[in-house]
Amino acid sequence: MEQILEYLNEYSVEVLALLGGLYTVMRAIVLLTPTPKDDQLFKKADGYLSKILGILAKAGGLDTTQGMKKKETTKENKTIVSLLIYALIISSCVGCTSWNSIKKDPRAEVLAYSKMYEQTVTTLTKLNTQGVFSEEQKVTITALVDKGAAYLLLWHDTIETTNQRPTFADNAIYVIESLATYLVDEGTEQ
Amino acid sequence: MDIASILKIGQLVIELVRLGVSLPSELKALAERVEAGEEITDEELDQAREAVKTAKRAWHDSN
Repeated sequence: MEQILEYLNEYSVEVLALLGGLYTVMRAIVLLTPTPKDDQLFKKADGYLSKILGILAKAGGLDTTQGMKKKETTKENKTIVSLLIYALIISSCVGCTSWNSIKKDPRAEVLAYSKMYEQTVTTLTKLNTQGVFSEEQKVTITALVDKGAAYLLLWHDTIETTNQRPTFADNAIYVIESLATYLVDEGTEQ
Repeated sequence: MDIASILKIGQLVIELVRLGVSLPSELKALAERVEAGEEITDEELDQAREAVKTAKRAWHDSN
């Protein structure tokens, strides 16, 4: 038993990431199959899991409600965006324990947020090429993409010249996290 | 559902799983390096800066 606990403690990030991946695949399969029975069963389990994920996200400093807007979207968009959001929340949360260490080094912090931005925008781009987003959504995402890049490039410049965390770093983080969370409302609202 | 739709969804699922797995792993590796006192090199920062620009450009190209 102790060995199992030790293993879970050491590989908690990998285990959570794997569970997150499995959950994402499971949710996709259930939503894509026509049988209503598994849909109902999963919906019930999903309700509990969503609450847990929300608590974990908040515990990790991720505000999943910020910048939310109420708009009408198609069912297909809701499903796809919902999947994206779960993946993003999961990836942000399992990284929570790592953030404390990363924030000790200003160079590591800007590197981490650059990676987060790059991966988020790359995923959004792939979804966009598949026609997932409405024109209105594209405008909002474009504004966040531009603002996030501008902040990050400025952050890199500051690190290069002073090797210190800039005062606007929190604003940059807010914009980057908004990219990942602004669609939560549309993605999860049924 | 036709084959094209299944492939499209499959591609999407792979992308989401990739995102859900690779980012936390990268963050964990980075955190371990910080704890070990390893320095982040200028080259790594330059690459990250370029990756940000490339991602932004790709988003605009997709519109």
